[in-house]
Amino acid sequence: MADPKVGGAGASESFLVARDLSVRFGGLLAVDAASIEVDRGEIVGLIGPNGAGKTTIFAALWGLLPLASGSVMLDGHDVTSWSPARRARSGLARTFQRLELFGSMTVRENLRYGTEARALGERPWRLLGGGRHQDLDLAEEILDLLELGPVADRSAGELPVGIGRLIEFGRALASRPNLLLLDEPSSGLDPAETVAFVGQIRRAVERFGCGVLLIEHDMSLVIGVCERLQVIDFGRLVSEGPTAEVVVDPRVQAAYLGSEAVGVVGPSG
Amino acid sequence: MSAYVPFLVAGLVTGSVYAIAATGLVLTYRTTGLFNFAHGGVSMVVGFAFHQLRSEWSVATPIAFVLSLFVVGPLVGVVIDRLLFRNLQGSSQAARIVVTIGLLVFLSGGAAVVFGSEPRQVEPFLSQATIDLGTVNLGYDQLTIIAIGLVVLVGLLVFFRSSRLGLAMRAVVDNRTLVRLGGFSAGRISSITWALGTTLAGLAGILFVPLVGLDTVTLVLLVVKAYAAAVFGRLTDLRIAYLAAILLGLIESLSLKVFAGYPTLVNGIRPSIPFLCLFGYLAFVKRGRLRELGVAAPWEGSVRSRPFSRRVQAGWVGVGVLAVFALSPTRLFVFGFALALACIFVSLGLLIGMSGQINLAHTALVGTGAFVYIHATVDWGVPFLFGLLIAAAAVIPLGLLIAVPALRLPSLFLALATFGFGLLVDGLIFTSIPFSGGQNGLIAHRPSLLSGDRAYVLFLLVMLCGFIGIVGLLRRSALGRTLVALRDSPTATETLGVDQLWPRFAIFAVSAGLGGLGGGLYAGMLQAASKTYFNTFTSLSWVAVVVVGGVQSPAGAVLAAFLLAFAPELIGNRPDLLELVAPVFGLGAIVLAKRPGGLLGLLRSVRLGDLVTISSPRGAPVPASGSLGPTTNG
Repeated sequence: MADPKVGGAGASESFLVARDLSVRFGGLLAVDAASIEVDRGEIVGLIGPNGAGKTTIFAALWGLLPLASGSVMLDGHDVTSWSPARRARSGLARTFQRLELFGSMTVRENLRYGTEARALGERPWRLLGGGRHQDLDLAEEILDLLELGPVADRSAGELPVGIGRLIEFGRALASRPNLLLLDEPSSGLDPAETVAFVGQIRRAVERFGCGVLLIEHDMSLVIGVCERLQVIDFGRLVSEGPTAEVVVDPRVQAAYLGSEAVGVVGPSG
Repeated sequence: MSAYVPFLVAGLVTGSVYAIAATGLVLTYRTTGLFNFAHGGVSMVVGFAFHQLRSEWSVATPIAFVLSLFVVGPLVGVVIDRLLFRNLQGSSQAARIVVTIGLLVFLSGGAAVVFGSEPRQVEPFLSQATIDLGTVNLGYDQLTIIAIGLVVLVGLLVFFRSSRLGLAMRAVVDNRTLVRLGGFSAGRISSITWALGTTLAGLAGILFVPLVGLDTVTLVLLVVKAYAAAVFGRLTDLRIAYLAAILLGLIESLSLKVFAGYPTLVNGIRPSIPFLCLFGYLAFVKRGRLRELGVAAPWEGSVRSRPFSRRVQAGWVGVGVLAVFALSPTRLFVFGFALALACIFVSLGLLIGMSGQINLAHTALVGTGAFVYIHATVDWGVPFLFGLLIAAAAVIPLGLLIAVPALRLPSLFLALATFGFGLLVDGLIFTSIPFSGGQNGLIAHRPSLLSGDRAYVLFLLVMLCGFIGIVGLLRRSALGRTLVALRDSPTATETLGVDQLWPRFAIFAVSAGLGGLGGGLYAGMLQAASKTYFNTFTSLSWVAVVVVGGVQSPAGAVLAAFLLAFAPELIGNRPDLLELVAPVFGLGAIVLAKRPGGLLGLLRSVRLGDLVTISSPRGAPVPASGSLGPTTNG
């Protein structure tokens, strides 16, 4: 899945390097000098209590909010002033906490559109062409990988939320991203679906080699899939490191997990 | 200085009437989330009712006032609430826009049927006495109107601020459950709101009539100027809407005095100032500043229609060719008219159907195409086909201009921007006599090879097939898929790497180009073009008619064009019934707004077998699943 445009920068630098991001809402500093690095092939969790600023960081990474300070680098390029679409073309993709499916397309069409979107964005005149930039094989492969085959020809809008999350994930994968941002992937899923999703995220990363940065509340998913965690509270990073170390960090327990949660988390972490 | 005072006062008076209309509009929008494009139509109906009672039926003025304002006005509001608004819960913004546009078409057309379309002068009903202030005279009527405007504003502000009902009305659009917990029924609140909103519209109508006379079109147009004021208040802020309305009135009135020496400026630009403000504001407003209220569902048109088989397509083309040779000369002309109209409707339906965005300025595009075609072929001696191409090319920049707000505005505000743009073109460009020939219009030529009706109609048939072919190609292209994606989720589309700019520009450019081409063909068919064919209110009826036909496929637009063109034939060429055509299409748009398949979709869903087995337990045939969306009936 090597993209010809990828690899311009030195191997030492991570694909995503966000430094000292600050976002201000009026008088409130919603994100305070947060720095995040994620490389291809890595699965990183961004966790923290409600209102800690996780979603705001996502919005900042996409350029959906004005930054008070800080910079975002993708693949060694400073993208701080780029539009969301342009960031996407350089290898960023995402899912949404509130589903943003192409509801009137079938599941297969959602994935196929994912495969051609970047080409259409790069060379707008291709909009007038037919389906030459669709990668049908990739779409089928993702359908298989995520076990979406049985619903491939159903309208995406009429399927349950659990499947909707998979479709969004698949559509994002179809755009061959270098880094995939997952926004609360477990919300609306039952525990069994969550477990299955964990497996699918792992397999996808193995197969496509992209990095994953996820925001998540469900600690079982976080611990099950993330290699590294960044914990945020009151807009600041309070702890980061390998998952096993972070979940036992006292500062993290104080800020986020609480004493009861440690008992639940401790043994598996 | 004192020379300006009368203009200042006159400006305050007009501004106050704008303000009354604008506050009514803001009130209903912010409470119900439904923008009422028919607000001006309501003003007109109530205004007519008042003067009908008073002048024709000799009812005493106070009684006529009470009857029209406090019976007819609220009644219209309650009808809108019960029959239209409550059926629109959980429907898309596009359907909402179409419903109130259908209502405006219905009210305008209906008023012409009931009251006649001849403008009438009426006697003033407010005191004509004046107060002498030395150098200037102030009319009591002027002071009364200004006072009414202030009372309405202050009354509404106090009502919203301090009464329990007012507070509940502020909450209802955001959270219906919350209101129920507060002890109010959301249904009763929406009834009261609509009654209040239409009463204010009616008040503006009654006050406007003595100023401008009784004329259906003028009255609607005047109240539409208040839409600009409401938009400046972001459709939610009563105070800003009031101030903007007063300001518009003052600018209009004072410019009369300031530019008194430049009649072209006064007559040409002055009436268009509010529309200039409306379009200008919407074209440059910061992205995200204007939000639609209420939760709108995704567009119902997302469900795709079955394509026609090749055999069916070929069959219809065969029928068309046969018709060209079989029809009598009169009917052949109507047939050709229908084909030219079909080309125009295909170009409009393409935009609505593919992007779910509504352009209320399509007449401006088509009209420009028609006039440019005439100038190119007649004045510059350009060959026919080149003339058509020039017409298309000339209109594309206008389409791109409309696309600018489309990039940043949600669909309601885009519709308002196009409305303003259309009225601007009406007022500034189509009034230019060198360009449009003024009231008389211009004579259009056909090439010698196609000078006869039969040859030209055959040519139109070929062109229509071309139009439909282009639409088919576009629907299957990456642009078609991208527009579907943008319609379903602009956010997801952008985060996959596609900017909104190019697909939006492309569809507006294609729709405009085909519209301009259609304008040229239309002018060639009628061998004439005049600004009266292309005013913006015609544009509203076009939207209504196209929605009635169906926007999911070009065949719906063709059906719409034939229905409109052959409507006089269908009702037996009875001139007394002719005026019913417009209100019927308005009503049709209201009924079919949530079914983008339109009449065509309904026709196709009824099969012969279903008609035979009507008594089967399954009951009536159901149109394509999910196309209706969830509805809650009150």
